[in-house]
Amino acid sequence: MTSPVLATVVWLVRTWTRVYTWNLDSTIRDDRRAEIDSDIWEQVHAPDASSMVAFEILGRLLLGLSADVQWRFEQGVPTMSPRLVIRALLASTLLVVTVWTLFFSQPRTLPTTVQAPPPMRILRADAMSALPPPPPPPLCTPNTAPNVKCTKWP
Amino acid sequence: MRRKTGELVPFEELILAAAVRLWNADDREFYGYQMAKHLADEADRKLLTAYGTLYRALGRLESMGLLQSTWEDPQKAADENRPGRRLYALTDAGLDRARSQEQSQPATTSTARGRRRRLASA
Repeated sequence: MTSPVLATVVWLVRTWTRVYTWNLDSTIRDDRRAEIDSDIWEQVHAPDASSMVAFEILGRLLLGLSADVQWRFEQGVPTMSPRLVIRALLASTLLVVTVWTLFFSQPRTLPTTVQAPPPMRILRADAMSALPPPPPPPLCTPNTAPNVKCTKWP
Repeated sequence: MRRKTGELVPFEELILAAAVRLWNADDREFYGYQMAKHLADEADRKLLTAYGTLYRALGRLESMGLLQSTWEDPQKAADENRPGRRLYALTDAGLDRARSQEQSQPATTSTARGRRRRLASA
């Protein structure tokens, strides 16, 4: 049974192949698509196929993207209508987003609990003795009001 | 930088050299995956050559007349319950080019395994 990851990667390779062979001469187009399909099948069904075959196939796809585009232009500049250009761009964007979502994006997790504020420090009576003494009242002057505490001049 | 007409890039030379080794081992025809696996085994690496790189190089070698390709008999593929293979074979020109390349650069075509064998026997 094919794993979902392998099935997705194979779909990606086939979709990309169809994108860059779009609008080519039918013989060249069909030959390339069939050749890639055959290669994928051989690699998946090889006697020594590893459990990471999906990632190996993805690596072969990604490392060869620029060569695929160069090959495409070597077959002749495509005569594509603006609508086809837009479809090709959308397909390419979908390909990139799918690869990114499946293999490179990290799930963001919100914290499950709100961090509690630090506990308030409550000073006990015996702790009060450790506090420094209050400053003495100011020195008395002729202008000091009668009801204000002041320190007499020594 | 544009390559000169008829000039091969190192990877294409590697394919020709590998095709000659398969030829010498009576494997006159090979398909894309087989070549990629052969190259990876010789270089002692797991990841096979990228699709774009491999099939572009094979296509260029064919367009230069150094390889020729045919699709295998569809009945054979159907009997083995698999997709059909595109089989490549060296042409006379390809064989001559590969052999002259081998004679002119014997040291550079050594593989990782070859180097290890030489070290082990020293």
